[in-house]
This record gives sequence, structure tokens and C-alpha cells, in this order.
Amino acid sequence: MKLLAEYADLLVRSVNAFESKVGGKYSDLEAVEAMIPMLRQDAIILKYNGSQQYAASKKIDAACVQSLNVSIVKEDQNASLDYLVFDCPRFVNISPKVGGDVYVGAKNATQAFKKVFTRQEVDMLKQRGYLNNGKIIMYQPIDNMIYIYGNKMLKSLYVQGIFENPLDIPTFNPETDIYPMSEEIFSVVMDLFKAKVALTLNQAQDNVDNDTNTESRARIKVANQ
Amino acid sequence: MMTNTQIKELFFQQWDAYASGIIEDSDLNSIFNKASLSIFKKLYNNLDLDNSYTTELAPLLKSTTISNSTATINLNQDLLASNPYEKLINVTVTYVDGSKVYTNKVAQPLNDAEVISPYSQGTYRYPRYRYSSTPTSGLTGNESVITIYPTTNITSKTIRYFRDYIPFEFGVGGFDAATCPYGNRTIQMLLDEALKLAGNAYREAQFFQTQSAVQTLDNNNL
Repeated sequence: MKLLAEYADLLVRSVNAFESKVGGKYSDLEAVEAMIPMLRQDAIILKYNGSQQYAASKKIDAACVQSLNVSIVKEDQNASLDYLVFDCPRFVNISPKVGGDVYVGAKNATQAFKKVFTRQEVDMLKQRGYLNNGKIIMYQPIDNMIYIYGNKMLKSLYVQGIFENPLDIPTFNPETDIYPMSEEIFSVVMDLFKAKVALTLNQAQDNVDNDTNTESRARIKVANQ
Repeated sequence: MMTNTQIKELFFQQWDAYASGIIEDSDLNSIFNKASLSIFKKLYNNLDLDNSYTTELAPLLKSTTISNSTATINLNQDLLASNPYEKLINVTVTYVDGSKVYTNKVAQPLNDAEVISPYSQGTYRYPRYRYSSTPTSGLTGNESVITIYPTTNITSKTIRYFRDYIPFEFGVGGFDAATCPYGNRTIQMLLDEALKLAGNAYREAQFFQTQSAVQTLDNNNL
């Protein structure tokens, strides 16, 4: 339960022996904050699918879920189309069949729409006679849009999910809102962050002069054999 | 806290200990102003070293809040004329972006080398500031202007700075009876520096007097 700035500060401290190094080497909070969504996404995927270090949890972390209401943008809709398009921030792709979309459905009811992965699926269902009565509604998240098939009367959507960048949610205020990340995920984020800056942290001091002749000894050895 | 007359008396007590030159008020003012210049320059630069200096420097620490949406602060015009600008401490900016309020965010300096980096050009959470010396129409010469990045959605900005030293004006109006705003430590430093300056000037004057006497003597002997 921390703010974005607190997470960023912890990350900076994690590579500075947990001391505050204001104006130090890794103290550019602005750049560290820009890295957090990327690392968070990596961490969520790692935790879900597992890796050498982390056992696969196979569950979506509720702390990472954000929700928002998406209203339809009238200008974007074309009357001749048989589907609707809603603007929605990009979800995290956790595995080929699991997306970050936890719930996409009606705003004031628990009516979850069904997810489709391709337009072909929709076409097949339509040919079989589904999606005509407005009751079975399907959605397909593509990039930063949600396509809705089966109901053209929909005015707004309620979306819950894990988004690539929590700051993309218009109502999310990084100054006051808790950043959607659990401590469990953050510990992975910290490991990943350290790994990213490990090259510069662990680089051994170069004590050998550039002019030092390191070849001659090898040559002498060869000559003596 | 001392009155300016007390400072003057202290100065002359110590001055009389080894010399008895008479110093006019106008000369004393220039001596004390010169001493202020060198003392405060040192203090400004060493501010971080000793926190107690900040209480000593309190009379010179100034803060001005400018409540408008302009992204620039003109150091010569936007600050109070009675508190002329000397050295910047920090700039804090408040942004209101729709429903999101970013209150008093401390702006970091933006160096020339960093300008090309998109992560150094400032966000509402981490604003930046940069000196830009641009001539404004209707004004002569270049004004010292600070530009704040990002330049949009600013509601107010607060600039904390050191003002120029408060000039000494012995013998002018009610200055002598007024209380000197500086702390005792600063006053002691000022007295030391002023005595040093006056001493140097006095010795130099004596040297030239002697030299001219020797020269006159030499000329007479020719």
C-alpha cells in the first residue's frame, strides 16, 4: 500500500544500501518512476507463469487490478458497422490465453461479457445464429481499444483489469492514489530493477593501465616451451 | 540583537585598540557594505555545511509566491523591489491538471546537457527550471529569467532566494537607532571583516603618506 513515489524511492534506495542519496548516482526519481510500469508488468508475468526463481502462482494478483468506466465516443462510431469500439488503456498480456482483463461488462450489473480472441470466432458464432438478440455480448481487446460484438445499444462499459501503465487510467492520481501493486510483486520488481542496474553496480575497478604490455609474458612462455 | 549605533561603537572600540584613524560615516558605510558582500557570499556558498547559518541568514532569506499561470519568473521584475534577488535556493511549482493537483513540487535545475533527454524535461510531478536570458520587448538588455518546465497548467510558483545584503547607512535618517536584523554571530563576522578592510586601508594610507614624506625629503636633498 504505497504511493508511486514511495516505490520509486525504495528502488533508488535498494541500489544505494537503503540510504537516501539525494543527487546521487541512481537518484533520478523521474526516470525510475518511468521504469516501474515496465518492471511491474514483467513481475506480474513472472509471478503468474513462474521462472527459475519464482514458483508459478497461476493467480491474478487482486492488488494490481484497477477499474474504470469507459464511455462510448460517439464520433468514433460508424453506423454501418455491426460492432462498437471503446477506448481503453492496454491490458498486460499475462500468457497467450490469459490477459489482464479481469472483468469487462455492464456498468450497473454483474453481466460479464465473453472474451473472444479473433474476429473469425465472432463470425463463426454469428453464422450459427448467436449474437443477434443483444443478450450475448462479446468483447475483444485490441491494443488500446475494446471491440464489442452483439449489442450496438451499449453506452458504457465497466472494466476491471491489470493495465500496462496504471497512470493511463484517467482517474488515477499518482499523488494521492495507492499504486496498484502488491508487496509480493514489488519484491520481484526490486530484484528486476537491481538486475537492470547490476552491470554498473558490480563493475570491477580497472586497475590495469591501458599501456601495460600484457602480451609479452605470454610470448615468453611460448618461446620457452 | 543590536542597534546599528552599538555596532558602530563596537567597531570603534576595537579599531581604537591599535589605531586611531577617524573614519567618516560615508567611508564606514562602504567598509561595512564591502564586508557584507564578502561575508554573505561565503555564507551563501556554504549554506549546506552548517544549519545554524540559516538562522543567522534569516533576514536575507526571502520567499515570494507568484500566483499566475506564466511559466517564467523574471528575477528582476517579479520579485519585490525591496528584496533584490541575489542567489536562488529553490523553486516550487503548483500544477492543477484537471482534477489532479500537484502541490509545491520542487523544480530541479535543467542543465544544457540534459535538454535532449525526454526524461529530464520535467513532468508535473518532477518539474524542472532553466535560466534563459532573453531580452523582453520594451526593456533594455537581457533580464534574468527562469523558465519552468512543463510550462502548462501552472497555478502558482514560489521562489525562495537570498536577497542582496542590506546596505549600511550610518548617519542617514533613523538608521543608527534602528535594530540590525542580523544575529550576533553574523555581526561579529561583519566586524572582523570590516576591521580587516579598514586596517588594510589605514596601513596603505600610512604607507603612502610615509612614501610621499620620504620623496619630499629626497627631493629637498637633491
